[in-house]
Amino acid sequence: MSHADLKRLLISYCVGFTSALALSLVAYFIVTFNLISSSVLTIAALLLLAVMQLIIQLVCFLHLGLDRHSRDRTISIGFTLIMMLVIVIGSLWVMRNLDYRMGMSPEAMDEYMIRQNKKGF
Amino acid sequence: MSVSRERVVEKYAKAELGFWLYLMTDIILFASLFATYMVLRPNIAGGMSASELFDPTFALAETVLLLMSSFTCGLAVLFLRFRYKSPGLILLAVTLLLGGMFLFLEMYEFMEFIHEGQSWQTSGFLSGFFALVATHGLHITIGILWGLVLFWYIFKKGITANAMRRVSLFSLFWHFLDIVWIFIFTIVYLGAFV
Amino acid sequence: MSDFVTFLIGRMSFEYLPTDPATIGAAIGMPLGILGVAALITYFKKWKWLWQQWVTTVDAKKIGTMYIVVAILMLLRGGADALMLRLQTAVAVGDAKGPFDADMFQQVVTAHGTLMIFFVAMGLVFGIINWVLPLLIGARDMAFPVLNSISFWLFASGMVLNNFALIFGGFSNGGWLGYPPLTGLEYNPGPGVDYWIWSLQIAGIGSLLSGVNFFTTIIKNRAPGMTLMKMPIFPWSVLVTSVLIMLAFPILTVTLALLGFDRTLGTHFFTSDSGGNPMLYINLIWAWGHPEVYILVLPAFGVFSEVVATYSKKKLFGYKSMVIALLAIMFFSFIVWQHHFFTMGAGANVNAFFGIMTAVIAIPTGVKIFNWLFTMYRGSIHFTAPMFWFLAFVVTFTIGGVTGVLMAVPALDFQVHNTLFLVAHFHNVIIGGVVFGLFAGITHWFPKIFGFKLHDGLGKLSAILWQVGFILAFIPLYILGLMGAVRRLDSYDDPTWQPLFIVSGIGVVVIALGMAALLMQIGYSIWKRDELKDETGDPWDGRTLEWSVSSPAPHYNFAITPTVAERDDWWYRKQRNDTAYLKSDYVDIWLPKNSAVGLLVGVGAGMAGFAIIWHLWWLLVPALLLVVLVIIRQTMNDDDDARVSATELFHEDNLGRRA
Repeated sequence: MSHADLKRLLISYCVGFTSALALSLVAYFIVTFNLISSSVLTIAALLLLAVMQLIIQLVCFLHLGLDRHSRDRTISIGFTLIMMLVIVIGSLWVMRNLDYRMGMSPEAMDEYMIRQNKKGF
Repeated sequence: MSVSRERVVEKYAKAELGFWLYLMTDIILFASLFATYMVLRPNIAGGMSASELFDPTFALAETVLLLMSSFTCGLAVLFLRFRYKSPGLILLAVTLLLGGMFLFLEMYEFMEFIHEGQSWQTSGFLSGFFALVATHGLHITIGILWGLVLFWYIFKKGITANAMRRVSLFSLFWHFLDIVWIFIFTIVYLGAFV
Repeated sequence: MSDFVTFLIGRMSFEYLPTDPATIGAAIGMPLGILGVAALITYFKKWKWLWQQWVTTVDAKKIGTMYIVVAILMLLRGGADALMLRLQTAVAVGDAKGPFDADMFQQVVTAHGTLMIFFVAMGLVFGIINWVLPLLIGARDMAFPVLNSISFWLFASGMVLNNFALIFGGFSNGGWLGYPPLTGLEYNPGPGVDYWIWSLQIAGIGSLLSGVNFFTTIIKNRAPGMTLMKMPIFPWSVLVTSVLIMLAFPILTVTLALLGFDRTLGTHFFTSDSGGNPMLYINLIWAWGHPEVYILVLPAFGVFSEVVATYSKKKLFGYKSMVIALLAIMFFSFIVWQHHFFTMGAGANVNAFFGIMTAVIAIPTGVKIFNWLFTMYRGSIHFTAPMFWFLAFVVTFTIGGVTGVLMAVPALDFQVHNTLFLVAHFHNVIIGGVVFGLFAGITHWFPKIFGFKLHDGLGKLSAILWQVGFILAFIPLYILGLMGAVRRLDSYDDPTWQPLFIVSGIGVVVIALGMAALLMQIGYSIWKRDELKDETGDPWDGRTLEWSVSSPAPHYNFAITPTVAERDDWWYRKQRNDTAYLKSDYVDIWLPKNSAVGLLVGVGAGMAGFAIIWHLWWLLVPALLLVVLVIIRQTMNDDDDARVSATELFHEDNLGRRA
């Protein structure tokens, strides 16, 4: 590797650092100063900022890209993130649904679950 | 008999992929903890709720510390790769120091919460919180330990091919932990106030 | 003083020693058996051999053999459990008593399920993968040989912990997946559930590491010229399996850890009070549990793909569709988990979605079955023991698959859920799919590992006995399940059920005979090993690379790394008479040195698990320290390779071929 590479990488780290810092601060200010009135929009904005920061860090710090050297890693993390979303969103959906249908007191829950268990799930 | 250069390169390629795959499994590990936290978050069971408990400014301080340490870690590897031993080692030390400060803040926060009577035994929400954040803290602890060993290794043996192989893996780990923290910062700390 | 004693012995006490005769017998027999083996080793002065050749080995083939030995031992214990369970249900009608009380019966059921899935099926799967994965892709070893040894010793450590529960403390009675709140502190304060948690946790982390290892091996260690689409189907199935392992096992790690925290640290993840949610546990454990089913069965599918093509003397029908089917299963296996708890209370939308996905996943599986049948069609089929296992598989697994699709319909599932119908279904797929597949694999590749074939006739006998016993044991359970017999049933009042339970019991005895035939097959073949010797290295006229080297395969697998031009490269090379190597083809190679790291990590992890189970906090610290220090030392080890020179290789290789 040449010194041009060193310079290029240095710049990449600096860009990554400053933009990550900026994004974190924006997220912080959105929340502390209540910049967005609708909570749905706030959640969307926060998630968007986090995902932007994820991408910036992946590119600038972990040097992911579509070139030959890093393509395998990019594909694997993309696939993992998709499967992660499947698992997390699926779990939240299932649990939400159970909550909505089954809201019960702790005692009732214990009794219900033990009864199910006796039958053997 | 020393191992040939090709063998080291070949081993590095495998180790890089293998370690990357380990990080992928770690994504799923953290995702399970995030899902648990999100499901249990409303269940405060008479304890304090997320917005009463968390201080976003404190979390921002932690975020900045960890981000800085991620940055210096990248620079450390860069300098070591270009064979600047002393700056590289100093930056590595700074990285670990910042990581240590982050860990200290996290511990301090935990102590504060427990002091206020809000421990992991209080509610499902707090169990989820402690499990998620402490798992991240455990990873940071392991990272610091690993970094110290690497520091000592390079200090003694110089920047060998084997040393670089390990430092690169370490930096993957460290950057990865910062990325996980972004989501803890966003979903746990900032998400509490939405 | 008493504080000090509590610190020293945690919560151990005499009340945890076994009390009923069956357990006392086992608790005395097991240590005696181990002592007996140790005495034999000492008598024959084999300790050094054991240490150098087995304990510290990093050779995947030997690690595979160790996996299989452990798995078969556990199969015998789990099988004995099954015999006792069916003995109980055969007699315990009305007021009649079986050998167990209700709690002990639940413990035996739990032990049977846990052992069979985690230590038998997983052990056999990992054993076969270790045996032949590097050989099939033309590699010398796994990508991370020492990590491979760590995986095995974590598996072994979990196994030891699991079995130790029998001697001291008793096992979990919470079923093989340990649902809270029954496994929570309130209902289960003793150490049984903790044994269950930590033995699975340790073995599970070993499996996770194996997944990383197998995947890297396939990506990085393939022979030159072997593109992914020229790779045999068995490595393909392992590739998909390792993706499933990497995505699913972390969920298990988290779930078990959280349940452990509930029990030791007083957290409220899965308690019913203080804001916990037991249903979350069931969601999480099945998000792991369903992919786990495919982790077990896909390698068996891979084995059948090799076996059917080899003994039909035809190339595999529909290679591409096989690969696509595997990839489809990889994705769909992650979006069906909720079908394990249709009845827990989710709404119709959720149940309908997961029900449809479950039905969809049967399609790629069906594609694979048809591909194997079309491979046989017009082939010149050699009806050897592996083909007998395959035929048994087709019948049994298809019944299991069809009943599975039945239960994918939520409305029907409400009727048969938690009944013996379900029990019969999953035994159909696990025994018919996994166990038959891996027995076929063991028979098929045995000569490559040990240098002599297994006796064919006894193998066929074993397959027939297993198949007949299987039908006798499980078809009655379908009927009983439809009649309303719930699973884990230790006694019942309806005398009309008894004949069916007796038939089922007889079936288990026939399966036990099949198992005995299998052991006889191995014993007889060892005895007659000179007659059954494999001189050529290619006893079945095989298609893939492993048959190009001598039998038993040398520890470096390939003296010369083969260059691959097409699918089933070895088969086409034989047709072209292009199998000779020149002396100049040999080059120096590097091999990993033996290492005790795996054993030490396994011992440390086992000690840590034991410490948590019994609250021996003073032991936990040094145990974890041992693991950490050993791993740090290993990661800093620059000198873990040994060179084998080209001349050495040439001589050894030619000796092997001539002999």
